Amino acid sequence: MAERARLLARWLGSLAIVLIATMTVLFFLVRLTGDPAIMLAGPDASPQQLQQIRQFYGFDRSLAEQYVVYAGKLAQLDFGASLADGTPSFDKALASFPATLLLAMLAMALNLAVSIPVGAWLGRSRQGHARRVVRGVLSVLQGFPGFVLALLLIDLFAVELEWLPAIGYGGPVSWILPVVSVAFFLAPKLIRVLEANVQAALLASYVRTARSIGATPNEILWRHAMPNALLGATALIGAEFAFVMTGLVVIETIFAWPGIGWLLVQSTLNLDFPVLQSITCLLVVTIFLVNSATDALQLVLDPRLQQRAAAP
Amino acid sequence: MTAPILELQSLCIDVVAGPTAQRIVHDVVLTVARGEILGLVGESGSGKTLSAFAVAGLLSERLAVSAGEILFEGRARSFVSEEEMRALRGGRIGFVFQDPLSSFNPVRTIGSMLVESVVRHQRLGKRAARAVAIAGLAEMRLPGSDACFGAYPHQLSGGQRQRAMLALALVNRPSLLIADEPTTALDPTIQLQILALLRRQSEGRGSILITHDLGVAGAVCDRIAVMQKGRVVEIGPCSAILGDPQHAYTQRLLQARSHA
Repeated sequence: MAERARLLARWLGSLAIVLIATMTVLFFLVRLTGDPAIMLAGPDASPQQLQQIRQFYGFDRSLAEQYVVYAGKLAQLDFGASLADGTPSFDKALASFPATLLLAMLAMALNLAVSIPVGAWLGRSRQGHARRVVRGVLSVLQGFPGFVLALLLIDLFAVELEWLPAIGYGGPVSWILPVVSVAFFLAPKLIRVLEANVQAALLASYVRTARSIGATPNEILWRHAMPNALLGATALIGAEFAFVMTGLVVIETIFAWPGIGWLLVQSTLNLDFPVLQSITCLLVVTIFLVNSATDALQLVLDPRLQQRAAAP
Repeated sequence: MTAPILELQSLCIDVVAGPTAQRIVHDVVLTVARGEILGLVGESGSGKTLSAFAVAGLLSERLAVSAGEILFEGRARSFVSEEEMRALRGGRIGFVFQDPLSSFNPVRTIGSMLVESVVRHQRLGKRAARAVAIAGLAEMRLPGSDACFGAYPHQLSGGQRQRAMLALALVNRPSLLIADEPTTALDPTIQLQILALLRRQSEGRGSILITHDLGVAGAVCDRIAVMQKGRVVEIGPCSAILGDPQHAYTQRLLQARSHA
């Protein structure tokens, strides 16, 4: 129990260090990019109006003073009001989170559903035409930027065929194109890794043991080789999940998907510092959580990593 | 004498990967009788492992039996389909491999392997198979066989793993046991324990012990076949091979051992 409390304390401590470091870097970065007062008041504002705004938001004080105020407010989880509409910025960031989470979950589910069978098949199959074709298609897909794929899919399914809506968050049918775009961007990498892992696993000595107890080729693939192949891919799966939770700026913008990436673009264009800070803080925590979950998953899946003294 | 469990009749094995087939095992003639342990002795690459693996179709795809016949329990290998062969593997023929750590799947428990084999070959339910598996582990004198059942390979010692490997090979009571260098990766004291276990378990079935060590073969085998460069160069009762070797290669093997 004490051991567990110690681990939790260490985990929270590293989260705090990461947060403090990121928020400090962000504070200075954001203030190097332009005068927020001009942005808020617009290009036609008079010097007096600019002065008022600077006073109101504290932009007129020294950086050190601003930082102390900033740090004090962060410590109370007060990220300030959005400069755009005056609503609490952290609530605004939080509100965009579910849309991103939905897209990330669906895309990862599709990614896994495609990658595992294709990776298994490629890892098992011998040289042949079908294998060469699939590998060629994968190379091309891997070379495609995600947004190009998204635009091509929109052009084909929304514009030409008119089967699916081009944008939106309006219901399952409108989710198809964004989810497919993201999944097809992720899948080639995972397929490659799974293919290599399955190949390696099939050469392992334990596969010979599996054959020696009469396992069929399918049983050998799915019950003996695949668990090890997936174990070797958990790091990549975790990294891909962290990516879709935080890095879908372009895809969300293309599909007008009201998630974090979309909000990030809007707030950057408006120089809306409080919202940017809230988003960054949220993303740092998200990545930290996803990484921790990946580590924990690896620990659960790989019995060798468990420091169990209770060996019989 | 009753019919032998296993009979190799002029067995030849070729490498079939290249443009021309290359023969690497030549005209091997062997029999294994019930209750007998036959030692297959020779250096690396002498063809001892390949000859034994060919019995249950465990050869890699680059290799093929090119001539001769394998009779297992009186049935010719050439008339056995791949599906029937799978029923033989683990059912009628048990295998023990050299390195018990790499031969066990790191993410599967020992028990799950035994249960898989028992369910497949004895057509039992999971629960009944579990009881059979635990009994099989106990039979190999694994202390705390309940705990071993749930253990992962890395949690056992080398000797325990090889006992577990023997349990996996023997859990369906096969009539032939093929042990490929089962003691090479183990400490000398553990080696003796495993060999004694092998001897005890040889009752009522035929066994093949593959080893490069004439001393190991001499300790447990009834007969020894010495192989060199894909051929059996000398075969006979243990005492004859060790006491009065006829072939120059056997004499060299014995000398190498006394120098070691």
